This record gives sequence, C-alpha cells and structure tokens, in this order.
Amino acid sequence: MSPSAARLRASPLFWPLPPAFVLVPAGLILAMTLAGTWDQFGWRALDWVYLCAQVGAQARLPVVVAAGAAALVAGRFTRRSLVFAQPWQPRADRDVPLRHAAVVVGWCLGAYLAGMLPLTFVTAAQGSGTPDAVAVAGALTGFVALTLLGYLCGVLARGLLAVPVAVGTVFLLTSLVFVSDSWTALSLQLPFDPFLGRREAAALGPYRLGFFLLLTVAVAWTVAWLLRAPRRFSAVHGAAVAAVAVTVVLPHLHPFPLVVRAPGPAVCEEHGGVRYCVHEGHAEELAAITALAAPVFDAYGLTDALPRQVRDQSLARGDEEVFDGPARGVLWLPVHPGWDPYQQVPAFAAEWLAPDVLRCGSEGVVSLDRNAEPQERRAAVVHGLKAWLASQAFGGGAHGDTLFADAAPDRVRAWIRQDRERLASCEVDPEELPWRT
Amino acid sequence: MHITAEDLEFAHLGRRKVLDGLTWTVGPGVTGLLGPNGSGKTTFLSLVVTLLPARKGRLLLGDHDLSTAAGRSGARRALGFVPQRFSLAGELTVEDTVAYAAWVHGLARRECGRAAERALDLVGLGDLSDLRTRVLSGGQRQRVGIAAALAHDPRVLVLDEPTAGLDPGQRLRVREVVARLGQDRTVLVSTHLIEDVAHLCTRVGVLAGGRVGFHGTFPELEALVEDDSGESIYGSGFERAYDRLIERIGERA
Repeated sequence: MSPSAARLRASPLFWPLPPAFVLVPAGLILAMTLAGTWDQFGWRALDWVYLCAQVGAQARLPVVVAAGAAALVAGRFTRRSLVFAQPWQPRADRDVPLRHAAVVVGWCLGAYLAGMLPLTFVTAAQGSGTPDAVAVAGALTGFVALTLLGYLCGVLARGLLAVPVAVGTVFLLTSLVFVSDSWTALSLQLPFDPFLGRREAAALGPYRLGFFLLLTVAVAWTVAWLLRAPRRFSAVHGAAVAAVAVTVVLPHLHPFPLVVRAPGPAVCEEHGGVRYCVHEGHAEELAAITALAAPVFDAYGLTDALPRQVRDQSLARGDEEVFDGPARGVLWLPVHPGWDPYQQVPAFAAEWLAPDVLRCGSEGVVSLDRNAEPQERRAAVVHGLKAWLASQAFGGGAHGDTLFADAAPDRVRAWIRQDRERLASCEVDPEELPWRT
Repeated sequence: MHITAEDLEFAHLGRRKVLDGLTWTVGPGVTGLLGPNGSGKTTFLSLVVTLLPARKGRLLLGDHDLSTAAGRSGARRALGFVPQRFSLAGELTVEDTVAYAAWVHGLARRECGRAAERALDLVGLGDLSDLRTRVLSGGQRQRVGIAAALAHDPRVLVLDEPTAGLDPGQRLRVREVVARLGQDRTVLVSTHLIEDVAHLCTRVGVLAGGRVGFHGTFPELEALVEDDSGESIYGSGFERAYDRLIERIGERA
C-alpha cells in the first residue's frame, strides 16, 4: 500500500472508515445537489425566503443517499461477530456510533452544503429578504436525524440488507409531505416553494426543529441501547422515544398553518395612467415590468379597460386580495424566483385586456379550420388577439398568429373600439376582422 | 490481576441454573477451562467479559465487582476477549483492524497506531500489517483476533476455543502466542482440545454441574484420569475417559 493511501486511511477525516465509504456518497450528494440547483443559478428574483426553503427541499434525495451510506457503515462495522464490535467493549455503545456518525454526517452534510453554496452566492448577490435561520436549522437537523435513522437501520439489520431498508424508509419519510399538509411539520420541506412576501408560519419552523432534535436524540439513544450489553431500561431513553411519538401525532390533530403573508414595503412608479408597484426586494424587476406591460396596454388603446395598478404578488396581504384583483382594478404579477418577465408580463397584461377563451363556449378548443365549430373559430380570434397584444411588448414582432399577421396597430385599435362589446362576449368571427375582409 | 468467583449462580430467564455455586480463582498465567457442552463454560466466560450481569454470588475482576454497572464498566478496560467465532472487516487492513480495536477498547487515538504495531509483533504478524484482512489464512485471522484483543494491553485475556478449526501448523503458532502472553498477564482459555491444555496451561479448571469440579495443574488432571481409567489422557483415550472424569468430578462436587 502506498504511503499516501496509508495517510489518507489514517486521516481523522475518515478514520476508522475506509475513505470510499464516505467519499462515494459524498461525491454523489454533491453531484445531485449541484444538478438540482444548476438551472437556478441564472434565475431572476432569487431571495432568501426561497433559498432557506430550498435548503430543505433540495435535501430530499441527498439525505436518502446519506441514510444509505450510514446504514452501510453500521451494517458493515457494528455486526456482533466483528472482533471490534463486541457489545462489552468500552467504546462500543457510545463512542463508536458517534465516531461513525460524525464521519458519515460530516462528509454527507458537508457535500450537501458545498453543493448549495453556488445558489447561496447567487442569492446573496441579489440579496432580497432576510435569511430564516430557524428554517435552515430545521432542515439541517432533519438531514442529521434522517441520516442517523439510516444508521439505526444498519444497526438493526447488521448487514447489506440495511441499505435498501434505510433508503426506502427515508425516501418514504421525505415523501410524506406530498401526501398531506399535516406531515409538513415533520418534513424537510414545504409542499411548495415559498418566496419573498411570505414566510413560514411562526410555529412551523421551531416545531420542525424541535421534532428533528428529538428524533436525533431518540435515534442516538436507541442505537447506543442496541449496541450495549447487558441492556438496561433507561427512563430517559423511553421518554425520548415517547416524545418523538407525541410530536409525530400532534400536527395531525392540530394542523399548522404552513406559510403566512409578509408583504414588505413597495417601490412604485406610474406610467400611462397605470401605477406599477413591486416589493422592495424586487425593485430591480420594476423597470422590466413597466417596459413590457406599457406597450401592451398602449396597443389596446382603451384606457378605461386598463388596470389601475400592476402589483407584485409579494405585496399581497392575503389570497383573497389576489383573487379580487380584477374587481379592484389590480393586475397581480407573480414575481418569484425563476420567473421570466419577458414571457409572463406581456401574457398577463394581454390576459387582463382580452376575454377568457372559455367564454367562447368551445371548452378551450381554438381552431381556424373551416370545418371547425363556430365557437372554436371565435375562440381563435380571442386567442389571436392575446398573442398579438403580447407581441406588442417587443414592438409587434413575430407572434405566430395568422389572424393578426397583416394587422396594423391602428386598425386593430379601431376594431377593438368598434367591436368591444362583441369581443368581450366572444362573438366575433375570423371573417369579420376588418383587415381580412 | 485475578478473576475471583464466589458462590456464583446464573440462570437464563425461565431456565434451570447453568452455574450453581461456582467458586474459583484464576490467577496470572494461562489457565485452561474444560467442560462438556452445556456445562456453563460459555456462560461463565460471558459473565467474566461482562456480556451478562452477575446477579447472584460474587464475581470480581481484580477489584472490580462485576455485579455492578460501575464495576463492569471499570473492568472492561482491563479485559481482552477473543470469541470462538468472530469476523473481520475485509475492507480494513490488518493494522487498521487492530488499531481500531485498541481504540474501541478505550485507548486514545494517538496511541492506537503504536499499540497495533506492538500487538502485531507479539502475534508475529508485523510484516502483514498493510494487507487487507480478507486475504488472510485462518491461522492469521485468529492471530489478528488475538492482537485485536490485546492491543490495549489488557491485564486479563479470555480466549474461547482459540485453536478450533485450525490446521496443526497454525494451531502450533497460536499456542506459542498464547503461551507468550501468559507470561505477564492472566489468560483464561476455554477449549475442548486437551493438547491445548497440555501445552499451554499452567492451571486447569473443569466445569461440571455448574461448578468447578476440578482445579489444579495439568499433571494432576492427567493423574486423575489415568487413576480412573488406566488410559492415556491424549487422543481417543482421553475422549473415552472424559465422560467418566466429568462424572467423577460431578460426584466429588
């Protein structure tokens, strides 16, 4: 064996485990985390609320790998038959699992955090909102607790069978959040991605953190108890296991609110009689929103049809406020991490101005075919108008709609003014469009 | 360091007593423990190595009272034990295995490397320290097991059938190692092989009916069997005489 290999083996970073036992899963976790966040590096509107929730969300599969690695270590190195895993040996019950767990958790969690670093740097550079330390601590404690759960599977199974058992168990546990909201307080992540203008409900973060801390203690105690001989009943151990059971049941009896709205101060500007407002943390998006929405509104031409305000959903105080937007003359824009204003702002603005295709009675079917139902052909007019309006954000370039291909903006505006009522109730046939007759 | 049992009793839950008033003192040197299957050898060894709690009677390892958790905890650092059947982690090298065992036995990490080297030299495996344990022969594995049990320099070493399953050459090497170890510590060897006792042990104890029915030197045991049967203690002669010996010891006890 080469001296460098011997040095690596003896390094306190791995000892007493063979380096491959932790380097392989750590490398896998790093790759998985980078792959999971790679497409987000170029996202707009990244914020700390989103990032802190991502610490839990992105951990979902890496923690399964970590649990599998921990199970493998426990299965290989705590078998009763091993000459250095005899239950009477002074360090067998506490120091050995602690050392194994420290090496496995250290490498796996370290690899995960390293994988999350690029997204953290990108978010820090955009810098909206404030980090939620409790949410991050809950997610990381959950990572540790579930990895230890994998180790417990290894101690129980004491063989390679422990690996699929641990992987399956932890995968199942991390998936429960998608089964029912009541599992959220016991999971690494929320069932959706929160972003600026929202935050985790006050009780959720501390509850999750407390649950995972309790789970860590109970699992560690159970591992020590299983590796010890002779085994003695410990009231503290029993209490820890009972406490975990109680904390699992409680959220099902009294479901937690998951997130609450936390609207921040607004940054606004006025253009063409419309007031545009975004969350302070989205101030950089305001210019793009105005520049993309205003040409669409201008192209429509009827000022009384325009919204009074275009507002960032991060400013909403509740879901009702967003639902009531059309009635209050407010167009709400979903400004969130990863949004594309060039696609979404013109589309939302056009959607505001033109009627819903469903009004045409074609059940959403749009067709220009001569044999199509009349309502499907009328729906094509509405659909085409929306595409044309959205294209005005970019100077009326190619919008791919044949009905409005040859239409000059002035003629479209005049037609809208003339057929406004019939357009609103989707009664205009393609043949009636002035530039097609 | 002495192993002292006084009126020791033990019964597994809901079963008859395996040990019944066992009184015995094992001192420095190599002591053999003989007895038929079911005589309580394994139970006695389990009590000595603190796998089982001594509930009735007294069992001391030096000054450590093994009926108390504190006593067991204190005794464990002074103990080395090689079970009859054990396995090694094939991914680890010989030296890593022994160094890790030294740490598990309570040695500080920085001392484990040197302790492993010392123990491997003692069992004659110093030149194989960089090999993975998966490539070792049966005798070499047995010696790694012994090295793992003595790397932390225990005062008491307990070996359960240390030469079982080895070929004659390997058995000889293991005996040499055990004999050397007995020069400065207490070694208790449980075995079925009379040759092991003859070559290794300064004293012999024979378990029968849950007690030590015979305790003395090997020549005294030899004389007892020959008195009774008129046959040599070695080979098939001993095999035939063994049952009568146990019976006779049982009567004496």
